Amino acid sequence: MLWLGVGPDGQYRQTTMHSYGDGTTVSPSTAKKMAEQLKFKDVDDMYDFLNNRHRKS
Amino acid sequence: MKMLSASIARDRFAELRREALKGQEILIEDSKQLNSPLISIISTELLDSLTDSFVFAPKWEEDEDGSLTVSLDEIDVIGYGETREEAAEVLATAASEYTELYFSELSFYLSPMVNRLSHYPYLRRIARCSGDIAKVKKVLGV
Repeated sequence: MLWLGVGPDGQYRQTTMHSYGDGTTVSPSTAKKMAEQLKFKDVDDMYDFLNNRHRKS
Repeated sequence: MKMLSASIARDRFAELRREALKGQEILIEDSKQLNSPLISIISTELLDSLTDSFVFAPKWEEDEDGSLTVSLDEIDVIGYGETREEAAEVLATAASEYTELYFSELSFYLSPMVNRLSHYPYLRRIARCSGDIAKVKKVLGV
């Protein structure tokens, strides 16, 4: 399924989430692509946001 | 290229349809409104041929554990899985879902804020598969 939305910066974002179920780890390549699509600085930035709602400044 | 008013086009629609099927593009204007945007009547087969030149180039990446990620830069969609078949299925399903959403929310996706006009011809090719995932995979090149 698609995850999509408009961020606080007004930019549209979308990525693909497979319906594996909660808690399945995605591969490094997939995580990197998702981070790019969601316009995070890198994968660490994305995981930081998902876990702590913080972004790298 | 022939240009007609909407009212004349309506009266001559059968004739214009025959001309379009022969490859003609007919422009329709709203003569009641100055500088109104034009629309075109064009053969679907011709439009299919024109959009066939918009070819997808899927990019594959394999991780150490053998899992695969496949991405389509043309429409900003990814798929992934433990096998090539699984990744292709996820990609085709995501691309189909995006296509359906795109054409149902065209004014949003063509707006300056989102600016995804470049996706249109690629997504049209997917839309012409009418939800058949096997056909979508063929179009995507996976």
